[in-house]
Amino acid sequence: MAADKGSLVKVLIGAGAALLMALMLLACFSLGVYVGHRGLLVGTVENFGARPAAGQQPPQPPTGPVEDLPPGRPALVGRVGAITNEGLFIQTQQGPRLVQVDDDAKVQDHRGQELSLKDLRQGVYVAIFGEFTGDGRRLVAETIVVVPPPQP
Amino acid sequence: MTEESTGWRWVDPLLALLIFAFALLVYSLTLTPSLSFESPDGNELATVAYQLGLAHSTGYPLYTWLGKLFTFIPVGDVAHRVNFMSATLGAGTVALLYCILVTLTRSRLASVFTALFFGFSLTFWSQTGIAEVYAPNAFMLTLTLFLLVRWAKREKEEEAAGQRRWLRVSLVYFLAFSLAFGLSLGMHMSNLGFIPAFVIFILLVNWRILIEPLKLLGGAALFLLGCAQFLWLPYKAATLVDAPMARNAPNTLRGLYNYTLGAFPQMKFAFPLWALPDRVVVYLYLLWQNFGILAILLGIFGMWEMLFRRTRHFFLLMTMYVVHLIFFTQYRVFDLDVFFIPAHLIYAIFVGYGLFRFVEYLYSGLSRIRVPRLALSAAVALLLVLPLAREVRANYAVNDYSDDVAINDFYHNVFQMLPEGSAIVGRGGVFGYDMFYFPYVYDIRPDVLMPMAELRDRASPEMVREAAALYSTVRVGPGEQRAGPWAPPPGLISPESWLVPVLAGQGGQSSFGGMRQNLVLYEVRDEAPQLVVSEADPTHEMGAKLDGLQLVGYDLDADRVERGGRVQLTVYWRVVEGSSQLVVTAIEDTVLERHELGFGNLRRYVEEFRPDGDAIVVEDYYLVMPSTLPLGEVTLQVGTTSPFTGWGTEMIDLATLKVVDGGYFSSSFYR
Repeated sequence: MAADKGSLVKVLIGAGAALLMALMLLACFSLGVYVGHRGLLVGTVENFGARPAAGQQPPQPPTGPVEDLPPGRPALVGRVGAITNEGLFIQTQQGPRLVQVDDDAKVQDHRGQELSLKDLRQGVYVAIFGEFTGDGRRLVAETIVVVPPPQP
Repeated sequence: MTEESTGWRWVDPLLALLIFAFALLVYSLTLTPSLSFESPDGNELATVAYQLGLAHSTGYPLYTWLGKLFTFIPVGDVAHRVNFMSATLGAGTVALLYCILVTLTRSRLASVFTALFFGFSLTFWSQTGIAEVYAPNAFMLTLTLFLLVRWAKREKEEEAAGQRRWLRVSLVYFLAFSLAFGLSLGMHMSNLGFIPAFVIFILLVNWRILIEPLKLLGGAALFLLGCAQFLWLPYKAATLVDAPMARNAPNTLRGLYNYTLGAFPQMKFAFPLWALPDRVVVYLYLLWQNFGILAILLGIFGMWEMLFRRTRHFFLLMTMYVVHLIFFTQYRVFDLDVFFIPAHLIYAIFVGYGLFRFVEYLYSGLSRIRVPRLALSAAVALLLVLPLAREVRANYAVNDYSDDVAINDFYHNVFQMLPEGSAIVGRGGVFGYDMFYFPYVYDIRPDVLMPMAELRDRASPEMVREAAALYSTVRVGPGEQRAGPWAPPPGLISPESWLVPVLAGQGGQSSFGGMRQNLVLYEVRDEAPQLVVSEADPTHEMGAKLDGLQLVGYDLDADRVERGGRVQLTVYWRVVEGSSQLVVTAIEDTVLERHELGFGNLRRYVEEFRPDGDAIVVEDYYLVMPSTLPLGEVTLQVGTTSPFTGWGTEMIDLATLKVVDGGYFSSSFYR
């Protein structure tokens, strides 16, 4: 009986170790894929509040007339925390918010100049214009406006 | 002395009580005073609890009933009391987490630290200050886990002591666990996913339970008794005012399924398999935000240690954790972070266990050089206080909602201003409860028709047209339909109407928009307002230039205002050059509200009336003064700010206002 119990514990420990190893592998694989696609340091210096590197111009606040911007207020404003294939994690004061970004989402800067989804980087500040769809708990971005970071 | 042979001591309940009191004190300091936009559902949950009605899917019956009990506490208004439930049950979660940890580790030091570390982590703390289901659900989850862990311990002790009586303490624990688990589904349906973990653990602890009908059937019966709370849904289905929810009203078996287990099908398993790495990274990102890299490593260490030393508990926690992760990494929702609170809670147990084992290794290593254990404990405690203090300090400001009075201040003024027999339109359904709260809970202004708050089909466009005057808190028309399925239905407000702002509440207070919205009351008129004039004669002439605008002057109806009251402000602007800047009003550099020049009417006005290029834009509206303003003299400011974000603000001092006490929170307004 005691031997059976000991065998069972061994089996369980083996299964548990396999499960843990699988989880670690999945986490490492996912991080690897993510870093492979998006790079390790892209945008992360801003994420940690670092100053712009020497010679790097900080983004300027908008000046002059602005045309072709979406009407009304954005649904969300914040800093891009993570970029995934399905959308953006926007860091807001209320916590991270997931925004669904489809291929037809428009990206532009605050002067109305057209950008692409590839121009979005971690640490960039964005205003999301879009609609809370279906159940009202999913924000689908229609226009993403890259805005200057807050002034100190 | 081994871990297994140590029982509870009198000091453990005392420590749990102290942890509860400390957490409750801090949570109370950061508690939202009443209604809030911090949670999309909180205003509905508070109102429904008071009414004993039916909340949105999945119904949350236990939350509703417990919330009702909290509404009897004579502190603040009803919403404040339901917010207080989150604080109380959040503090209870932290205390119970200590109890679970101390049962598993027997290390009070590691248990106290880990419980508080979790309690003041970013996401969990954010849910203890608002009416939401996540903190109460964490409480039910920790209660269920605690009872299960205590059952396992007693079961082993009784087996070792050879007890054969049918009524044993372990049986009481098991039955209590079954009931708590069933009840927990009334806080969050996702707890159902923990069934495999519980079954595996119970069988690993004592597989003979399969041949103990009393225990097995008793447990099943009590679990079903807990689940029976969902009979509340068909009983209350007729009270639903939320059109999307009413489409799946739980008054049939199919409706009941759609409202509970089948709810939100578009959110579940919403990502293809190739998106898995991204979803895992998203989870790791949230985990890092809450725990930091050191605690994450400690958690991994704790998992390995628990696997070898407490194998059954490892399988209990790890199965719960994995199931939760599988479900919610595949969940497509806007505010994903709060859904991971149970996973964070389980991870915290691993962190606690890892810390306990780490300290044990440290003790055994240093004992060779004869360092006294007490001195070591004191040193470790001091080292642990530092990250905890840093965490509390960093997260306090983010989670401090104690000055969030914008909704109450706004509607206090709205209901004072609405004419007799008027109608007011706003958002419907779950998100409309910032308005519905007042008539539903306090029967304020029963003469005012609120079509979005009426039961289905009871308020028609004809009734709205017959009202003495029509007001709205949402803009409708081309380019304004951003409110989703809860926007007013077509026909209530003609797209030809002018929405003239009459009152602006505090909105956009924070730099980051989040779900916070502008609080503006519009009067719906057929005729255009006098938005642009060729000449103006303001009481106070200014002439200052702000970005592309010139501030010609302003009128102010009073130099004295009550906290939570309002002043009438008329501002005259000349557009010098095209500008996208927003107009801002502020008190002592604290922004009250931001709006487009003309509150969204200017473009249409210019297109229809073609005023002269140097004409003057007139903005005339009441401005809500926050009830959190300091008494005495304050400076009212106006200015411009960059579009969207509120950054790069330029302000000009307008006038000094004397703020006097208003105190509507304690007045007959909330009778």
